[in-house]
Amino acid sequence: MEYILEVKNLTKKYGKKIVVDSVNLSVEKGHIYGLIGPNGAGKTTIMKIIAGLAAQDGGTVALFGSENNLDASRSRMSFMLEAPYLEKSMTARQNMEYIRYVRGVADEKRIEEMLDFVGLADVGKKKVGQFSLGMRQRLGIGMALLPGPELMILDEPVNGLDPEGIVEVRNILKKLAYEDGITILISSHLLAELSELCSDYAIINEGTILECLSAEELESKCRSYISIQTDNISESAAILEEQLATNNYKVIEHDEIHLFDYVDDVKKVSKTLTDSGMIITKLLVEGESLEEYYISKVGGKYE
Amino acid sequence: MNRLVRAEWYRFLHAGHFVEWLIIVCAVIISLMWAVEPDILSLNIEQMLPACVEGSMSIQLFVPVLVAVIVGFGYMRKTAYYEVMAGNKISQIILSKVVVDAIVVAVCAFAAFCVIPAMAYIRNGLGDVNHVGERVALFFVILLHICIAGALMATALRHIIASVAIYLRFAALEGILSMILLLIASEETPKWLEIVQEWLVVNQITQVFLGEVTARFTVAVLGSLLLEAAFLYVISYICMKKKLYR
Repeated sequence: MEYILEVKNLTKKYGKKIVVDSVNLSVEKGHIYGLIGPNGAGKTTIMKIIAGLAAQDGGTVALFGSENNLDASRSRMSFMLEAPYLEKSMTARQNMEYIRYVRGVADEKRIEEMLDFVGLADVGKKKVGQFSLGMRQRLGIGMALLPGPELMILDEPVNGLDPEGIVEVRNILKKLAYEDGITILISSHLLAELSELCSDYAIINEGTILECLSAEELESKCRSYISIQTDNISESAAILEEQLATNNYKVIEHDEIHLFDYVDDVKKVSKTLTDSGMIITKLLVEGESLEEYYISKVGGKYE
Repeated sequence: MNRLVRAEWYRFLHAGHFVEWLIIVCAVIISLMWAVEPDILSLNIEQMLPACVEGSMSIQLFVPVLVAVIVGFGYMRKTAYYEVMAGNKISQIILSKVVVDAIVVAVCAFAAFCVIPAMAYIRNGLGDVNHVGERVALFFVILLHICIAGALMATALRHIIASVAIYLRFAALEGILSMILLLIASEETPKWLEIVQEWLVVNQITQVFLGEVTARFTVAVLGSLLLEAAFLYVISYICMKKKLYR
């Protein structure tokens, strides 16, 4: 397995307060890795350490398989931390031009390409100070893309955007990941914003990674099911297999069945069991949404 | 390094109206000479040297402030963070600020300062002044010194607040120190005290126009530049190495 970014036992303190506590993260090449946690969970600090803008108090960061010469590795990456860092008195094109020099991008045409890609080609000459939040975010993404990075680190890229802006940014990131194969580490305090995007997730709270899981694992954990309780659980299970031709269920502690099929047709399940003489004491569609799962993990209020 | 210098030059030309500020500062420098001596164009170089000292004293207060503002602005806006995130070496990041911002401002301030003396020289001649070339060159080194100090202090603090720090460095520290040295000076002033006085920028400005240009003075001007630049470079490097970015 090729890890493009590996963080081991990363620890950061501000004074006596531990803001990042022995964090381990491994990002595979070509994946979109979502770092989810409430505000103040330590997401930005982790990203700042990776970017070279903060020093860790413990642990290691390995980029492209090496812990050495991180500066050289960073030249293969792009970052957008918090809000994009923009010079408001310059135009979008001038901000791009500045980044072109900083990153040593020889091809001047990349600026037009990137402005076009993020939908700012028409406003390239407008001062960034007059840009909306969404336009700034898109410009920030365009600037991050300018050098053609292999890994992008994006901190809350949809923060403060209206729904339309969120969709725009999400579509850009999807295109980057699935069409251009760029690896992305993206953070958000809103799971729903990442739920359509990421292939992997790490849930972080109070500086600690609570769980790392793939999109499939998350989906399976958040799957809806019919919760069934009857006077005879084993016979009910047999009826489901015989009459509804399904074995996609789990018997929970001998008194409840979680049926993962027929979620959209509860009536049929109810009728089948009743017609077979079962006395139903509970029949409910249950299951956690992504947000509920996240809340159950971080133990807080969903924002 | 080359790309950082080009990036800084681009930022200097296009961001934050720095060029306009520099033009204003240059205009102020030229006007200062008139403000100090309204009949300055009727004087020859020898006669205008006291006015040059007074003008330079003001320049040393606001020219490094401009440099610190230009460098500090990049950090305040955080655009300079891209230089770190792009994996550039700290030493190169610092040097690019010095090479572009400090040197450009020093050259422009120097050129502006020379406008009136040049006109006076053409109209009224030199008078009795020796070592003119050396004086001009040393004055440029002094300007370079204060500009480099401004750039390095802004890199160390990574904020526009560096403009206040550099102002205090030249206005308060040098001013107070030179006054203390003057108060304790006497006929039996020890040699080391004389050397310390020569290494202060405020005294160098006076001597470069009104004093003798000796080998020791030349060493003092060059030495104080190198010493302060090296000291502030180390401080800047350590501060950036600590990665305390907001």
